[in-house]
Amino acid sequence: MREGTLSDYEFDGSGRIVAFTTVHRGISGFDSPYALAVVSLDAGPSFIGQLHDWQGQDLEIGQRVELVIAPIKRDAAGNEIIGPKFHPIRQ
Amino acid sequence: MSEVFVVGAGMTNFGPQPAIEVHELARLAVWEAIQSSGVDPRGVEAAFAGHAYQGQCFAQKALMKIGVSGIPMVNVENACASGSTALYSAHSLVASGQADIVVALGAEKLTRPGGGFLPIVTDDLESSMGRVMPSAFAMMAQMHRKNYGTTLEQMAMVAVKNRRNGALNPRCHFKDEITIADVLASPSIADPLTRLSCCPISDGAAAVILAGDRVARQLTAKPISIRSCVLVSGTRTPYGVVDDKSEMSTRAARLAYEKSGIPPEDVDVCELHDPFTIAELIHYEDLGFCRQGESGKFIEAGHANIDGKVAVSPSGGLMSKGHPLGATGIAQICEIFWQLRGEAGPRQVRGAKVGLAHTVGGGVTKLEAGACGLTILTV
Repeated sequence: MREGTLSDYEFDGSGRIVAFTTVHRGISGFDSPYALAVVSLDAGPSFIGQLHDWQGQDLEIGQRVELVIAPIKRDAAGNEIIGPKFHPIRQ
Repeated sequence: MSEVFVVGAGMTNFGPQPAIEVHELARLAVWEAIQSSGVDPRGVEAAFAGHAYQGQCFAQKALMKIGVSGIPMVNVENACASGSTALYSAHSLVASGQADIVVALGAEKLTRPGGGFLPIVTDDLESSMGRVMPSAFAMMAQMHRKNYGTTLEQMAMVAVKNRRNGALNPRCHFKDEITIADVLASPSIADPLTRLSCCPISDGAAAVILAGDRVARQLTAKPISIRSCVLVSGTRTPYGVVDDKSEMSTRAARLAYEKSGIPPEDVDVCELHDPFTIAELIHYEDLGFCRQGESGKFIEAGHANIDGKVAVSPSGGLMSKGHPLGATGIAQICEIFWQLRGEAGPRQVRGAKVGLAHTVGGGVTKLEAGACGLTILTV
């Protein structure tokens, strides 16, 4: 890649679920159950991330989501680590 | 180029082996392979060992136990395809005429107090978001269900079939049969995959002896010919891609069929990478055993049974035998070797003449997976 060809690009973080799963047996640092999804962003790229505030909702492929910043896991000391997650938009 | 043959095979029982140290597991497998081949250990010219987590200089530590030292020994890692990568490397050395007798081995000791998943790869972006291996396959399953109407029952049939086969194989981790209802009712790991939809975490080792055409027929009346031995890596994809098929397996299969001149219809017995039930279904399609989207119907019709069109994982597969990462790819070759020689006992595929072994390894962000090994063997 040539130097100076990258630039900032701001997108609104909305997209739709391409595939998802609820993980019941997680790993150290992740509170189970959590929902993980592949999201195809309206801006083009795809992203794998957790869903936020998803419990009690009927998740389905094609469902619209929006990007939020929220806790995704805990470090060894038990502190929450925040990162990108996707919030299902209620129809 | 020399034709390359398998002339001996050995493996330990798979499953928890708390009392046996991992290099000792490897020694047991290598010694069985050596004995079955009739090769003098002093005649071994090189060795390749595959493992993912077992530390430095593995082959040297294992082989010195049978008095083999000083020769070139190479230790390779490609996650779940580590064993297949050792085989590929050993095959290359013999095929190129640089050695006539080479050992390929694989071993892994994964069980530990407390159990749990394999260690997560902390420097991998998707893993850091919570993408554990079962969740990746769970999402593939959701897509396959959505796109082709594949049912939970059809997915469960993979576990039922492989446990039924495994009940005939005393070397398996699991030795009992299960039903579709058992699979569906077992605890959810990553929806829709239940505990019985996943392979267990196991210890074990396996080894094969490869020989070139100058010596193979002097060693045994029944050498098994390696017609093609292929290794490919995942190609770069955009971030965050999950598919309902394995491009890498499709590519490896096409290459192996092309090199061997053997089409998928001719495969009698296949040892296939089935860490999760959905993986086996998807790979039927990738390997050309059925058309895209038809794998659910394929297993439902019994085509993958020991007496079906292509016997898939008569050994019990990863699902039943267990999946000690480095050992898996070599254990597959052991099973194909025994099947093609007619030595597989109660799980023998009648009249098997063409065998195929397939593994996929490694979860890497921006790649479908790390590596895929695919080998076609004939009598």
